Amino acid sequence: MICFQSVQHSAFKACCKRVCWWLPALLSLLLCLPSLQATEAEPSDPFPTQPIRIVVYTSPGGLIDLTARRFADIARRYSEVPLVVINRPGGGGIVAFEEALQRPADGYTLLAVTRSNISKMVATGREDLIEQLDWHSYIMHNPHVLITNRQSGLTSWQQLQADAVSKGDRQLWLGADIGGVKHVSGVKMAKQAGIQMRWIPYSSGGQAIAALLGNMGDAYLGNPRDALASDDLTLVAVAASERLADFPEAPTFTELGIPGLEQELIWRGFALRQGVPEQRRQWFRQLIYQVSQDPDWQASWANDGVTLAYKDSTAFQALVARDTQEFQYYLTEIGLLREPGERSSLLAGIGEQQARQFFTASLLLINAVLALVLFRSSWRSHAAELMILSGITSLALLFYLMTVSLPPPSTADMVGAQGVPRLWIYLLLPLALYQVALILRHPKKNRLRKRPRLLFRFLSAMICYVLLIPILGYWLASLLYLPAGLYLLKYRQPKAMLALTTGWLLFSYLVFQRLLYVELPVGMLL
Amino acid sequence: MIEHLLAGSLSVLAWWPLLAILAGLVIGIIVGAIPGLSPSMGVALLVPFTYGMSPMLALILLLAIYIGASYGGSITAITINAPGTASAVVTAIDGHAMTRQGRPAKALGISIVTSAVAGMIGTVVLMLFSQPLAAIAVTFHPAEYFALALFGLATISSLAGANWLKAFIAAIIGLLINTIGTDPISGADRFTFNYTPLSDGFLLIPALIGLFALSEVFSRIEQRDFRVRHLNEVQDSWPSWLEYWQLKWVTLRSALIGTLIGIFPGAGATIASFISYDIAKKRSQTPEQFGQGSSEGVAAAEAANSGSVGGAMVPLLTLGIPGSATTAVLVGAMMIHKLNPGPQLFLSSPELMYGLFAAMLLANAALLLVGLAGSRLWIRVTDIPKPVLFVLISLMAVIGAYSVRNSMFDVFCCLGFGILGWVLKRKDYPLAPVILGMVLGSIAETNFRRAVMMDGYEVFLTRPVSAILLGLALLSFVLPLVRTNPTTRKHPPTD
Repeated sequence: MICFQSVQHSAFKACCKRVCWWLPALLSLLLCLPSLQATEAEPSDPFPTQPIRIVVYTSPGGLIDLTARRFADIARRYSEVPLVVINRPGGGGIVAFEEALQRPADGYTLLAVTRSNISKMVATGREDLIEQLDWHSYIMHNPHVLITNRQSGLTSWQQLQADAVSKGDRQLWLGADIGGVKHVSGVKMAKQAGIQMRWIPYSSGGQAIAALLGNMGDAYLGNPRDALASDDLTLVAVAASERLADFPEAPTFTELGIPGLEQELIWRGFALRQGVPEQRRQWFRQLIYQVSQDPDWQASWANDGVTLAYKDSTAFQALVARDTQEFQYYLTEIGLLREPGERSSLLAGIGEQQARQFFTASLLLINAVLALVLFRSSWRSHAAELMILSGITSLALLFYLMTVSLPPPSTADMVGAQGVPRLWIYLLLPLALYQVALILRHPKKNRLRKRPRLLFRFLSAMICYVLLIPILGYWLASLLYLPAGLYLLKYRQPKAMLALTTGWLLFSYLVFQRLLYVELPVGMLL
Repeated sequence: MIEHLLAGSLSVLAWWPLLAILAGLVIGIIVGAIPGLSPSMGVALLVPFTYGMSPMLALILLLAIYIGASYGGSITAITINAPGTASAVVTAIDGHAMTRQGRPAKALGISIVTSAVAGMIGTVVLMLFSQPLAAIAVTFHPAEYFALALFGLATISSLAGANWLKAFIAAIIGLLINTIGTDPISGADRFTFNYTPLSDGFLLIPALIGLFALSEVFSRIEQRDFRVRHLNEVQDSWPSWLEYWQLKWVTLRSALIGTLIGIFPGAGATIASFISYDIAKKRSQTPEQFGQGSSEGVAAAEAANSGSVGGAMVPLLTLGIPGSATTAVLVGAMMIHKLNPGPQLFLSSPELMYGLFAAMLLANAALLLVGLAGSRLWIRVTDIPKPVLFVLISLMAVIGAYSVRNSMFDVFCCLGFGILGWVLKRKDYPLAPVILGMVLGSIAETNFRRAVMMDGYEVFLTRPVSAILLGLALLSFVLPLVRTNPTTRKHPPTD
């Protein structure tokens, strides 16, 4: 044993000796990498000197993404540096907003924004994100329109209205998202017109249009260009002060005798984080103005029902403030927000926090006791599987408790938010119990496996690596983890380890950081 | 149509379009093969490079990336059990089993050939029947989407074999995980514990990487399986022409299933792969080999996956409706090039549309060449010392999960799923049903609730397609269970 230890020790020393010559080389490479990244500029520095990131809150392919990409393309003619579109989907814009706010206020991050962001921030109680932004430029809008399918026999607003009256609350309006800007517009339209409608949310406008083409609903609320999907689609009403040049046949709500819907539109613009130097804000103002006057930019929006209209920061901020208040009011009316400004925790209606905490603690205690008993009993060979089942069952029970505070079924949504999770839980519990019964009834002699020490060491190294990334940064953490992981797995080729570490860091930098614009964490040290 | 197709083909048979196809395929394969990078990401990445190109050339390049990336996911699924996309999970079941048996060349060969052939079949269907298929696609009621999702879930019985009980528990874990996040209908936060990153639930890509790639690494380290299988052991095992020929029916059938399911917006390649795999197993003369390294299993999954590309293009080109994330990017790209996808495009630019069809055919043929040449390179993965491979996979998992939305939360999730996958696998719980539950859970729930909101509960039985699909789903669930004794566990886990 001693001999083995001494051999191991000398091997370790030899390895350390071999490793020490290349560690400084790697460290210097590591120190070089951040310097290749964007350095934070002083406000007085010439601007811009590096690519500007336009952060888009959706996946590639949405209308805001298209707007940003078209803008970036044309802006290249007026800017010495490229503008690069970065997609940061998630949380209806929260992820993108948080990312933009975490970046320095140096003007190198522009956020592409739409009116949908306001409804989402209000619905989730994140009005703080709205307040932290500098709403720099409003660049365009398009009105919301109601589209019907001619095949359904509804070819005008009057027919749609009469149909709604005859159906009561059974007229189906299709559109994207619940509690989104279009949903709120639909609620306002129905209210102003004195009719009732049932909002059927789809995950995208495209899917909703497909459903309208299949006569799954009576109307679709969306953008004018959505009507181009088929010749069967027709615009029956436009929420604008005057008719659209590209759809001259479609009447406005005002013409139809329904006033107050002229501002039911989706706007798009750009925001910066607050604190960007005035000189850089001016630079953006000029750039956006130049792009807005570009003939190609204007031509690219022809036939899309889009109105190109510029509003400066003051007017834009006022509009955002008005929209925020309006969404607070209407989301409360729809029932998606209990009181204006209330936070998302209450949106979910989790009021029984203490009961939940008590229940969670009880489940943890029961599982801990069960684990102690099982691992010391004759059931030791089955303890792991029994604990898996116990863990899953406990989690299912906790989820069941939490469903109590979810919105219950209603006449509009007869299943409710709690229905499907409960169904899965009802299915899981008997199956898990049956599996336990099978184990208990047929206790096959499971061979007790040896404790996987090597795996636990590797797993510990990996967990340390992941935990260290936010602290040391990706580069330093990877530099430490890669050779450590190889060493743990008994790989003893110092030159290959050096080549692998260098190669990996370069690959990460070139492919992810430079090509894909993934901002790898730099940690708290750099 | 013939003259348009000829004109379109002639415009594609030039240097630049051919170069665009080759470049697109190579980029797409690389993107698909890197865990964490999706086909939509790859296409979006290249959109800015197409600004200066003609619309035709730009779309050819982007379509080639789409085709390449759809195939690329299977490479890592087969070689290192790290499916790049959810649909490649099915490929991994038998493909990686073949690799572990020392037959990676055979799995890679089958996957590339069936992918290319199915891609061509899908394109031919797109060319000939796009208009009537689009008309069918839009008439699919939410009740029918729900029934289709349930039919997809029914494949668990087939995936599981004797382990049906554990497979169901695994699937329900996936379904329950899927309910975490913002409720798609009411907008309420469900099981998020007021933690913002959870409002979108657990993303599929980090879960996929964790459940498959990391859990595989952990299992292999636990077993101390560091044996290197040298190339000379496997070089002679590329499939023969006869073997390809024997897979003709399964390829054709799966390609058609993939194309048909691909046309429904939002359904996609994953359901198609699982259903094709299920049907292939039921019709196979050697069903017992499924899950143990069956050539038919790989062919069924890959053919359905590639066939769905042609299907997904049906609503895109005929109605301008994107059915998947990648086709949504393609819509954006078309609009950047001032093309409004939809029925008018067939009338205003027929040569462009048929040129694209010709390019898709050509790209699938070229995929065969690029893929086969590339496979000789990918197979060298088996030659890499295992410690190096395991550490590199763990690094790739971390950076891949992070790059999905620049979030360390996703990295923690990926690691968590890796540990969960290892624990489940250790106790013979199959992992594919977890992913199936995560993918189909939201399709099933949203369409179930949407259908009830529209027409009440009775709609599931009053609509014939829904009733038939539900009946088939029920049969698919029950039949394998009737044949199987739950207490016997002869078969090892399918993962």
